[in-house]
Amino acid sequence: MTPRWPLALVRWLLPGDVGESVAREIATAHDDNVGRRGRMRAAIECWREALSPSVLQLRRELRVPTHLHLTSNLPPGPSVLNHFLSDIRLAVRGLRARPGFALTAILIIAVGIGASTAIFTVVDHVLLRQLPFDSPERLVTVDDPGHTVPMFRRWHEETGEIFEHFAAAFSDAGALTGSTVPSEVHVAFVRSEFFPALGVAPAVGRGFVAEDHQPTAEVAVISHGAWVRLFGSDAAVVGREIHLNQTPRTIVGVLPAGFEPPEILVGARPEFWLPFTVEAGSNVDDWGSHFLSIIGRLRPDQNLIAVSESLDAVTARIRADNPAGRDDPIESYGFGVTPLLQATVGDVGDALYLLLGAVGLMLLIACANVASLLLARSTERHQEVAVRAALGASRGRIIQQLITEALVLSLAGGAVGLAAALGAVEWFNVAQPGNIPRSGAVAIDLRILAVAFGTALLTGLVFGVAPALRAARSDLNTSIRDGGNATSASARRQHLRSGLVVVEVALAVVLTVGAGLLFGSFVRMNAVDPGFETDQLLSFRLTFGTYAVDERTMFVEQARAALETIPGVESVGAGITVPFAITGAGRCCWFDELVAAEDDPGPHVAIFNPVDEGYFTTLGARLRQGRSILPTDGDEDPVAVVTLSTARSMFGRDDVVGEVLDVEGDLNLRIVGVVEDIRHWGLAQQPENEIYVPHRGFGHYFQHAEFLVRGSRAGLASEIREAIWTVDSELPVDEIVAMQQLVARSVAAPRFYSGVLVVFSAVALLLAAGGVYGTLMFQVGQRRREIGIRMALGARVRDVVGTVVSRGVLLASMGLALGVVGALALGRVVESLMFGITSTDPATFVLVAITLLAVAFAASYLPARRAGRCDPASSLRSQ
Amino acid sequence: MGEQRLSDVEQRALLAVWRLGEQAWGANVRDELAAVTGRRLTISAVYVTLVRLEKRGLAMSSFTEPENFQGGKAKRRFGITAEGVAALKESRAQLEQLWDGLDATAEWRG
Repeated sequence: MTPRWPLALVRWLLPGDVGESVAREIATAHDDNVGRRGRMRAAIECWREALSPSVLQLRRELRVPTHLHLTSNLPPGPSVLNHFLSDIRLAVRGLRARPGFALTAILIIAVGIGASTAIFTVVDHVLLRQLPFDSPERLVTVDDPGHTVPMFRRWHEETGEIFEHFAAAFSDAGALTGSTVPSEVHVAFVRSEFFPALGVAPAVGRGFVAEDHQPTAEVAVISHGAWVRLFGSDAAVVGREIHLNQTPRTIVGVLPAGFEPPEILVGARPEFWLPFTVEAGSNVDDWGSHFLSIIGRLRPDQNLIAVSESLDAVTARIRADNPAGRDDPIESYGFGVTPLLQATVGDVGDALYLLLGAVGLMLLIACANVASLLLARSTERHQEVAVRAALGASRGRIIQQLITEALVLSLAGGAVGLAAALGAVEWFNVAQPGNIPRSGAVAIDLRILAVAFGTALLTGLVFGVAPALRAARSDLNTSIRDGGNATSASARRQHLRSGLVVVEVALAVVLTVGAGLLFGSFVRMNAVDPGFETDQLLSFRLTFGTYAVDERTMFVEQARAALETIPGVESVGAGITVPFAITGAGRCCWFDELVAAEDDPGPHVAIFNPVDEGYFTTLGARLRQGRSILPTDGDEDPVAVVTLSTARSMFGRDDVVGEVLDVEGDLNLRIVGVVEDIRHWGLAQQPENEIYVPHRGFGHYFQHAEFLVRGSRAGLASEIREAIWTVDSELPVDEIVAMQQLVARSVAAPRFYSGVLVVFSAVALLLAAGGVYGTLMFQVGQRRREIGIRMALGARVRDVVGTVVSRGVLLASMGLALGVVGALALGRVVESLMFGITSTDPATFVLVAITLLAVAFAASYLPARRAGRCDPASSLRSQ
Repeated sequence: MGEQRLSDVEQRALLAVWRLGEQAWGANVRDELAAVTGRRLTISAVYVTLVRLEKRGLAMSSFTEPENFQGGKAKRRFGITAEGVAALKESRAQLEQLWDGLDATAEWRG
């Protein structure tokens, strides 16, 4: 497609049929070029044509009336457009004459527009853009992280009139073998309706059909990435075999290249897709195994509220005839449905909108700053403007010229800012800070370009209009006579500038308080005691593949024995999860309901973690009472270790060793120990009921085990892999990560948000300080004569310096007062992102006030010193 | 028609239009000139010269039939007028007069 804008520009500059002819020829040449030189070069060529000076030359050529009937709709002589073009020339010339001013202004605008474009690009990509599926607005998920197989089955049977498609999915690690090195891969398990629900058709072969849910159908669909990586994009891939979890599977289809599977359902980009089949009597076909995510495509006539209600009704019915006759602890809540986009983005929205708001404030500060610079400049140019007016320039023309100058500045700043934003977005894609969903392929496209351009224009108007109006409203007589010195008109300008400084400071205060609060939250979150020792601790995951459930415990024992022989390893532990390991698609777990055996008023929901005897020692968890899990603990006389929070919430006291927990009426656990709370799911986690049981008695229902290794020696990772392979050479060993890294990853989001805000607020403070400095410097320059007279009359240097500094500090204090009010009002916005701190935290406010006043003092001191150095004689003489 | 002087650029453009005949639209004239001079002009630069020639009555232009495909558009086709041919011949005669008596194959010997 031919770029629209260059052609529009040509048509605009060259009205009439000649312009039309030129535009068509450019379009044709572009289309030829696309084939020969590529899209990019063709577009550049097209722009070169449109921006070439010969277009203006042709325009001049056409203006003379000829026998050709060149239908020009321009009146002969000066026109708005010609004024505009000559104003641009004049503006560029004027700016080149004052490079210091021009560069400062362009840099300030570039910071504002660059930062806002970069943030807006991310917000647009993550929050505003629809998901890349067919009619995405009809896609919903059923709330809550994990659903059970029986629940899904009943919903599926009874919600046919609500959902066009209804599918369950979950993802897990799998072992890919048969190639040279066994590798762990990300596998998604889905029902056959999953792809139709998303409206995605495989690029090669087929998706899943109902027959694929037969246990004998060993089929797989692979991602485009896996197709390229493993099969070199071989078109004849359908029918070939892969070995996943030691089972041969036949590939039936390849997904299209651009397919971005919804992360909340199957995690980030699984490479292998298997039909999810539950064999009758399997241990996951049970009301206690919560692991399914659910996606539904609504029928076109359904709306969200009605759907939630119908789903509740169905759920109530299912519950009423639940054969076990009990309410499941998790499923006993009502269920809402959430649009897939909203569910994918989650609470990232709050944080990103906060950043967008912050960057908007920064842009405003930049505008105020540049407006203030322009005001100073217009004072200097007073005489020039007056002379132009005297020579016959109308007020409108002068305003037009000054606004044009502002626009030239803002567009130049916008262009520089855009380049910076491109760099920032590139960095964002590579570094992927803050665990932001959908953040892989953020790009600046035409839409963003249009927004950036619009922002630049708007910015130019915002900071250009007031100074232009000011400058044009001047008294010719006095201006020419005074030669641009202090007059009543410039006094008004000074008030305006001071006002701008106050606004800048106020906005900077709001931003700095916000940054301070979020940074304070981040610091507090980092200071949380996770309940174990994070240093010198490694963790990794093993995926069992084809091991039967009763073989898994044996394998874990053998693996631990092998790991313990590595020199430098102090201890080894294993469990179904380790702290901070679970991120992404919900947390896999075993929830159950239990009561303290005697006179306990109600059931409690608890998370069960089967662990081995090395788990607590290796973690460095702190045992408060009793003992830890022992090798002799098994399914006879089942025991449990509970966390302190569990003891307190269930029994109301710490000393609970010897008490018995009744799990679902069919299992009694004797408490043998109490450990201090372990923050399993993140530093900000609220205490939950967590119960540790010996893995021997409770098997490994899950496909994997997590291992912990404590050891101080470098290079342990490769030895760990080899030790595991001595037990089973077919088993892939996942990434071996240091616990400290996992902890850091868990706070990546607050680190990113608070880091960005701190940078923004530093820039804002710098700009505000620049505003104070610039204004005072200018005032001192304008008032040199007055200062000179005062000093000649006996004013001391100290008094002069004091006057200037106190003026700066006064401006800053006014801004501070306004800013504090604003920050208090806006504080609630950040509350959802805060941890361990309130939005009115006095320490933060005091710290911001001190910082700001210190900065204002420093910014005022230089101009003050300059004033104090005024030599009365020379400053009087120079006038 | 009185004598019309042609600049270098105008001579080349007019010759290109003449040579191209039915195919003389802006982009083709540009390519023809680029082949001789090695400089690639923009289409609007070519138009500057052609429009100037047209105003002086040395060239003319008309629209072709719309191209024969979906969305095909009419093109402005330039042509040379009798005055244009005369002006070119005159320029050539002047040049040849100046060349007369010189050995075009001779090397410059200082």
